[in-house]
This record gives sequence, structure tokens and C-alpha cells, in this order.
Amino acid sequence: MLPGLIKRMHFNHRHISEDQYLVNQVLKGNQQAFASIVRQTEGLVVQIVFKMIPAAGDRQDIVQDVYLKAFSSLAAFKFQSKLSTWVGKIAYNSCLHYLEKKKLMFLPGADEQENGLDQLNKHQELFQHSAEKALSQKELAAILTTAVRMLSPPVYQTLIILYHQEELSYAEIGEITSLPEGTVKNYLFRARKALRQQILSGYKKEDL
Amino acid sequence: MKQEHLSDDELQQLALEQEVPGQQWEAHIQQCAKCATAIADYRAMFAALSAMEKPVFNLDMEIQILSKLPVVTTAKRPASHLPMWLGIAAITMAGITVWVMGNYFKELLKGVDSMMLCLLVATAITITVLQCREMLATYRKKMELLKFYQKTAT
Repeated sequence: MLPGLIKRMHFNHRHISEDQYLVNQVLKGNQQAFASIVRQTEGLVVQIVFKMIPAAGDRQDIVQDVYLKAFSSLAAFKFQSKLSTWVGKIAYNSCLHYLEKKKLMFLPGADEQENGLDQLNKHQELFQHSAEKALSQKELAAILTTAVRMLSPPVYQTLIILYHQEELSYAEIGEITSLPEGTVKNYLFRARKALRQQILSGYKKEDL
Repeated sequence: MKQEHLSDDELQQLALEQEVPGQQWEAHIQQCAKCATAIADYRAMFAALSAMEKPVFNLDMEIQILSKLPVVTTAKRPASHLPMWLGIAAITMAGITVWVMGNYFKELLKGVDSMMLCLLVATAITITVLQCREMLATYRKKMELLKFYQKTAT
């Protein structure tokens, strides 16, 4: 087995017993235990909300709503997945519900898309000037931030972030998004390919 | 050596280190600049994706969330005597049954080997104790859930 894969498959008894302890403490009325759950899962929830909700003003309310839902339904958690995955699923569904309620598509706004294109063009011009010298990881990360925002359909953005930034496994992403594992793999493959093409299209056409 | 170029799926898997390159692949990658560059590009892209800045809120979400949680009431109810009365009733019923049906039991067990009798009684007691333990655990779990829902409802 390879290290990357092992890391992602690291769902062991330690997680279950830790989760069980925290859930039992919350059910006994220990709010600090819930604070601990918030600390452990906040990064994932914020990532999902920022990727799916275009209106910056509503994001904070949605995150609060996610944790209130998690708190009130914690007794129903069956430990069939990691607690963080379960909270992530609540976050994903809450975002979908919000978009449905607001009759918004899971898509970036037209303005955002135009800004994204402008930014991407700027970055690509920058590339052309410095094509000979190797790009630093920081520079590439800045370009990728824009390129990820341009990915369509937008579910690709969420999948890329969950896999590459949050380091979740295909199974965990499937659990959160309710997509079959095979579909997650396929979407991720397409998303990575599109990302590479977007980045290279401006300055290294021969490599495509 | 593999003549044709690696597919994009293969390139990604190699860059993610989810696939160990076979000898044919390895030889091809060493010879083919296009495939080697593509793997290097993907690796750089994945490293940069991990290094991307993560979004954060300006304010402390933990404090915000905890302040919104339903207040947990800690008022204790007076201890219920129901389990004690139920226990007394059960023991009384068992006593009356043995007292009334004692003769029938004697008749029933006449001729049974004392060893066998001990084994029967021990088995019956073990099964009863395990069942009671299971029932008690289920009862406690359900009461805990009920209390949690009561707390969050208030």
C-alpha cells in the first residue's frame, strides 16, 4: 500500500472511541465537549460553506445553523462514519438547502466568473513573463485559487477542496456529498484535468 | 518499454502515488519528456492545492456557536421509588408462586439428578441476570436520550 492511500484510509478505532466519548459528554450536557467538536470540524465546515455559498454575508449564519442542527441531532448519530464526516454532510446539505431556498444554482455568479477570467488571464500573462523560471508553490497556489473558482460544474470545486485541502478519502467525500465513490473519483479526475488545462492553456500549449 | 503515452488517469494516479509504476511505465517515463513533465506538473499542482490558503471567518465561530446553543437545565427531579417497588413486587410474586406451586415443582423435579438440577438452576439464573443487565443498559440509554431531548426542547 502507498503512503497517500494509507493516510486517507486512516479511520480506526481511536477515531470511533474519541467520537463516542465526545458525543456521550455532549449528551450528558457538557458544552465544552461540543466546543471541542466545533474546533475539530470547523475547518471542514467553513471550506464547504465558502465553496458553495456565494453570498459572504450569509455564510456565518449557515455555519451556525449547521452546528445547531448537529447539536440537536447528535443523539441520532450512529457512529457509522467519522463525526467530522457526519458534520460535513450536514454542512453540505444545509448549503444545498440554502441554495434551493434562494433559488440559486450551485454556480458562481456571472460577475465572479468574469473577475475570475480576468484574474486568470493576468496570472497567465505573469506566467508568460516568467516562463523560464520555475514557479514557486506560493505563486502556483495563488493561480490555483482563481482556477479552482472557475471550475464548472461547481461541485468540482468542492470535491477538489475536500480531497486536496482537507485530505478526505473518496469514501468520505462520497458520504458528505451523497455521491457514489466511483462518481467522486471520476469527477475528481475530470476536475484535475480541467485545472491543469486551464493553467497551462495560456503559456504551455504544447504540453496539453 | 510502453510505446504509447500514459493516459491522463494514469498520469494523475502516478502523481498522487496511488499507483506504483510498472517496469514498462517506468522505462517509458524515463524516455518520454512529455509524460514526465505531465507527472511533474500534476505533482506541483497537488502540492500547491494543499498549500492554498484556507478560508477563515474574522470572528471566533466557536464562541458564536456556543452562545446560540440551547440552555441546558440542570434541575434534578426527586428520585423515583418506582424501581424499588417493582423489585419488591417481583420478589413477592416469585415467593407466592413457589409457595403455592411448591408441591408441583417437587413432583416435577423428582428423580432429577442433583448435579443436573444445580446446572439447570445456574443456567436459569445466568440467563436471567444477563437479560436484566441488557434491559437495564437499554433503559439507561433511552433515558439519556430522552433527557437530552428534554434539555434541548426547553
